[in-house]
Amino acid sequence: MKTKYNTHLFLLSLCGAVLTAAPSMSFAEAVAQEEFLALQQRVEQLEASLRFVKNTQVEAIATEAFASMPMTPKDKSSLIESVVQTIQAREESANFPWMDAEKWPKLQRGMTPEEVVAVLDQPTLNEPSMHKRVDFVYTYQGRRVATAKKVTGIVRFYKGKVIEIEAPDL
Amino acid sequence: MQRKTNKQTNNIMKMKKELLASLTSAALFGSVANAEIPLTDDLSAYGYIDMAYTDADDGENLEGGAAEFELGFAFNPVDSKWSAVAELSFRGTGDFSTAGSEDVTTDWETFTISYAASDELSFTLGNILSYQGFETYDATGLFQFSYLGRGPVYSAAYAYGASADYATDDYALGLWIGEADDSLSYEFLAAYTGIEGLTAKFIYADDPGYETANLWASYDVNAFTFAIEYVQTDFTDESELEAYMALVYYSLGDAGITLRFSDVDYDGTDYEKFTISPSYSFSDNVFGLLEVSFVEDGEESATELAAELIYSF
Repeated sequence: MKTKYNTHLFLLSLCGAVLTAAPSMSFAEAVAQEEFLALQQRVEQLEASLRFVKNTQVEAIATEAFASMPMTPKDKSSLIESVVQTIQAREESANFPWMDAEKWPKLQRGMTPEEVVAVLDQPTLNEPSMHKRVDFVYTYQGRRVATAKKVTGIVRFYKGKVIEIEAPDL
Repeated sequence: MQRKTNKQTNNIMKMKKELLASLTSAALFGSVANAEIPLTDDLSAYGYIDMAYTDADDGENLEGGAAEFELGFAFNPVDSKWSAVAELSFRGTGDFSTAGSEDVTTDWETFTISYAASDELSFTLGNILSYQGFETYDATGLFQFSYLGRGPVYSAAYAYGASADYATDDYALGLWIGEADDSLSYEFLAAYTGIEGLTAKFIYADDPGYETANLWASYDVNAFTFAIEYVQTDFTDESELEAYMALVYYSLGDAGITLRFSDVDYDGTDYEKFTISPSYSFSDNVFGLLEVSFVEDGEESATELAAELIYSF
């Protein structure tokens, strides 16, 4: 989140700088060298900030990847593979938090929709059911980032309570 | 404008009830389902296709086909208290031998703008479905194919007006106000849902054309659903309608069976119907049923048959 914020801050600042500079371009003769140098210095500062943010992010990912690497030399996969897996896991966690296999056993019959959302996040689909003993159905559907395998989980509600849970094959 | 009475039944169908409840953040019974197909973050579409065939041993021909196609759009921005719904219904006339484009009628059904003042209180303006009836307006919420009477037993269906609804987990109150024949028309709803499995509603309607009291209750216990209903309407032309209904539904997982008995007295003419309807949910989206009804209509009797398949999306 902080990384995104910094990146957005940078882009906004850059846009601001460009927009500020744009009108001045038509009056290039009127631009003082001091102003030009100040703007150039500002852009350099922002680029440096962005490099720092990127480096921090990569460092964090690498640290996480190293921690998860197998210990025996025989089982060691490549560092690149481990980093890729970590990035994929992060992407999956950000986009499909319900794909965490540890979350589904936390669901129980009798839970309210709000309690289900608190565990799994918002469903992909939320549909009424034609079944007379099901009022509506939460469907969680997506593809695993690493394998592109399509997975689906379903939670059915009746009278505002969970009555059936079909966990995805994660 | 007098509220429409050319529909067989007028209850808030399950799908619509849940959708509207979600949209207004004021679910009558705690339901929060909303629309099915997200078109954008704020707009979604939903609907159903209803195919039905009917026959009877009273000389009527086989009728049916595409009974109804309904398409609805719901605009429901997440961070806004305002929401809107528009539903379009295409209905076949039911003449199997001449089914074609000329037999299709198109109607606006729910057509509303709502404001959710709080989680409990909401206000709605537009073409709103009546509070009346255990039997739902749309086929998706019915336990069987046919309705309990020969003609409409509820005095209202969709009508333009404004409503205020207050709902908690235990009870709900609603007031609809519209206009008919240059006079006020209104409906009042009181519902109780404080006991698990129980839903009880009382609806009172006062219109320049009629005055109606409608009371119904349903109770789910294990695999059974029990329901009873009473409707009494005094029309301004001094005709009267009185209807009773009792229903039992037994769920066998995806399958189920409905038994229903109804007795309707309209201006001294008695109409009795006993219905048996096995049904099956092929999935959450596909539902089919068969029905046989034994009807005593005044001095005449008939056996009516029906088969129906509904696909919702």
